[in-house]
Amino acid sequence: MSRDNAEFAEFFAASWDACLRAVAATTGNMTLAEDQTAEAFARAWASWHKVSRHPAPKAWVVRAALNAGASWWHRRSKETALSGHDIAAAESQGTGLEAAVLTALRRLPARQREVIVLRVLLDLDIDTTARQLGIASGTVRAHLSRAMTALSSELTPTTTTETNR
Amino acid sequence: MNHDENPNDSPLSRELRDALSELATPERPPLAAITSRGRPYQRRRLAGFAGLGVTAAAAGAALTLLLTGALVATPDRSTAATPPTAPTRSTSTNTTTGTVVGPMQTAAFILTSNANGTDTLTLTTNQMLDPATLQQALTQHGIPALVKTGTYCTSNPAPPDPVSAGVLSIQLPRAPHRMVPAPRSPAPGEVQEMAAHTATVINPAAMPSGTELFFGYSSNIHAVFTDLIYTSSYTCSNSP
Repeated sequence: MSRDNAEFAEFFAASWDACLRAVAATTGNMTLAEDQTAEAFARAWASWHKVSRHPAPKAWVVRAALNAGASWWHRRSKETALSGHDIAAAESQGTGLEAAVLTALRRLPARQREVIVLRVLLDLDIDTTARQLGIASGTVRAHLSRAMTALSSELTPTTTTETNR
Repeated sequence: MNHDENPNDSPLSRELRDALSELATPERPPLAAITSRGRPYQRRRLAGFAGLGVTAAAAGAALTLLLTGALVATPDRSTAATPPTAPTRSTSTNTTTGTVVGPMQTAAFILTSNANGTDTLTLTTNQMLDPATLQQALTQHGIPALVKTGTYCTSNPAPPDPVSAGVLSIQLPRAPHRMVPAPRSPAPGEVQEMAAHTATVINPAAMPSGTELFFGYSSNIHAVFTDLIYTSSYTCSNSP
């Protein structure tokens, strides 16, 4: 295995779950997210020289997975089964807090959801999140604030410490 | 409540991360499956990530026309520089290619009528494709079509596969101007790539009754997806 392939294999093993969860949190559908994430990793492998130098390779994968047209024809055969069932699929992922979180995320506008995924789940800083989404840092802050406010009204943290809020 | 600068240490953020870390995920696919899926992209990149490629799903009905044009020798640069919104037409006969009437050429595509009743669509350069211009050109050539950007339309149940039905076929390049990897048979489940200068031949006579060709242009990946849809029954979506 070449050095590049070894590096990619390490990245793939370490990042698959996080990227898949981020995509699933955005799309609300694990089946679709799995296909899109695999497609994104395939593209990352093909362009590993570029992706490996990216400041946030996991964010590159997530953005690639969410690319509006990238996996359309892969999805095509699944479309009948998936159509109109995104939220139901999200809710079926579990009966506990994760289901409530997914449902709450699905109720956010798409851009707020993307900001939450990149900023909170992938732990990107504001500027990197802004570059990933092609929007201004101030816009990221605005989306983030609104999203967190909306989520906090739907979810009650079990470890609430008011000093941080 | 301040969520602006450092939300990741807040209880809510931890709750979000913890909850999603509990989300059951499918088993990670084998690395070989990922690299196999990525090989067509790698070949395309190694070929200069340029030229006209045509990608057909090996097991599916959809056809992808990749609009990467640098390898394509522009037939007539002065004409190809014409803005997409200003197509040019000519009635001269092209004896080299066998086309006889009404070629329509823009910076993004060339559409020619062939003597046998088919039409040849060549996506020529890396110019952005103007959907209205392509749809107008197809209509003028007698090809029922719907062309959209960033929107993907399908019928359910799906019409026949356009390649199997003889509606679409691929012409390999006549004279590549640069060496490119030779086409090879795709592995099961793998897409097939073809070299620069590839053109798509459309046979309107083979289109099943009540169908039209859908062309969905993705500016993000600079590709066109095309498939048959039923004119009176299809749905479109903006995202996968």
